[in-house]
Amino acid sequence: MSARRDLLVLVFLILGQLILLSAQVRDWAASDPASEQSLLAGTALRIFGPALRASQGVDSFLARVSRDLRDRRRALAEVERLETEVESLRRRNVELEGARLQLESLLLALGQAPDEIPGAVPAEVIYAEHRPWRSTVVVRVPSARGDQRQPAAGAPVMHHQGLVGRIVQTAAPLARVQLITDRASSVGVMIERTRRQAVLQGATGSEMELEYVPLQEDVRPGDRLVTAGIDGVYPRGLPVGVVVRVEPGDEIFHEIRVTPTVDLSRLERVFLLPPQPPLEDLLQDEPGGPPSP
Amino acid sequence: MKLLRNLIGLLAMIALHVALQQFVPAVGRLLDPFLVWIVLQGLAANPLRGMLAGLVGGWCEDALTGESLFGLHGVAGTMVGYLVAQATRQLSTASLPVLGLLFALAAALHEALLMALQMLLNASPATLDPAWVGVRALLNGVFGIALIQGGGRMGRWGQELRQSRRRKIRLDA
Repeated sequence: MSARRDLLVLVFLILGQLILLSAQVRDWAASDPASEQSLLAGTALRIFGPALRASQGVDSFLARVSRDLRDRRRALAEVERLETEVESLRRRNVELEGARLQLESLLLALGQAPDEIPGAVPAEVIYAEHRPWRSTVVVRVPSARGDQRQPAAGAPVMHHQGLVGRIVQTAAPLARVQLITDRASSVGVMIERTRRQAVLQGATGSEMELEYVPLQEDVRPGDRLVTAGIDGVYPRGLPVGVVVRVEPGDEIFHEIRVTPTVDLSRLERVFLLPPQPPLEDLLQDEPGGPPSP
Repeated sequence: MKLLRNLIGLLAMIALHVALQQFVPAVGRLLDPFLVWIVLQGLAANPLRGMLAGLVGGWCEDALTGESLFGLHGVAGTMVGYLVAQATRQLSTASLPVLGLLFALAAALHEALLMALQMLLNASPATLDPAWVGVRALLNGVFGIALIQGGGRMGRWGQELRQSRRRKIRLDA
């Protein structure tokens, strides 16, 4: 019974569709042969129009996504290339900075102050005092140099190999120099390789401690330290010391030991640099700084 | 629920057909998602369902392919749906080779019916290339089997998920 019903339905459906097709063929033959328009086909096209439009939309969306991905890939490659270039330029900059410092040191050793540090005065070390709590030397400026070259309190003192300390007492033509290894000495420095700034503190003995360098900072033995020029005492870029030991300190900072670039126990001849101008003077030089009285 | 699932299946086939025509027309010429859907409906061994699915699927294909005569695929689909349902009643469709053969035969029959109808109605008939029909039958067979296998796996996965959720609810309670 069910099979007969199914067969009947099949015949009915097929016949119905064939009649529809025949009607289309008749209309088609009667109308313009170039036209394929029929009511059913038109209706179907209208029904499926949105789906076809959606496919076009999907196509353009995918094209846009593909283009964006391509652009992103290109941009990432460009960023990578630029990062490499910046890294290379940074390295080159450090090398050049090192070369400049070496040149300055050589000039100072020859008794000539480099142009960048005008007015450097050579002086002789006449006395040294190295005690656990105090590291100073007394220097004498040759009188032939004239009054303009007399030592001034606060003036940085350097050797051709690097920084020595600063003048803490003056009695022309003599001056007492607090060495950078003195326990009371603090120098604003930066690690030449990473440009990380920190404070170099004098300690007992011939070594110093680099303080306030966070544990996550990359510091290695052999890293060179130069003055950062942020303490108002020392100009920027003078060699100060070399990291000799890095140990995990407390929970926040490294415990870093630094040895001076200059052998402070064998000082004979040093150079007095002009003292750094006070902060007020610097501000007055800046456009928009406080007016001078 | 079953009707909704079948409708979703049809919509998926429409989307697939449109996507294939839009992005990979070469594959779109060979693969016939509507035919696969009709055969899948026919595999329920219900001739009425097979016929109706063939009619609806065929009309959808007619609408999308833009044949000069609307309804050619409808007639062919109705016939294929009915015959597949009848064949399913006679054959064991549990084995994959039988299923593959069913899909392939359905694809070949579909092509033959279309050709016959075009010749009958004189609507610019095209010549039938046996190699092309063979490739089409093979591809549709593979696609159909893949769908059945994938659907079976999805069903099992869904069942396991439901069971584990039920167990968890019981444990929580």
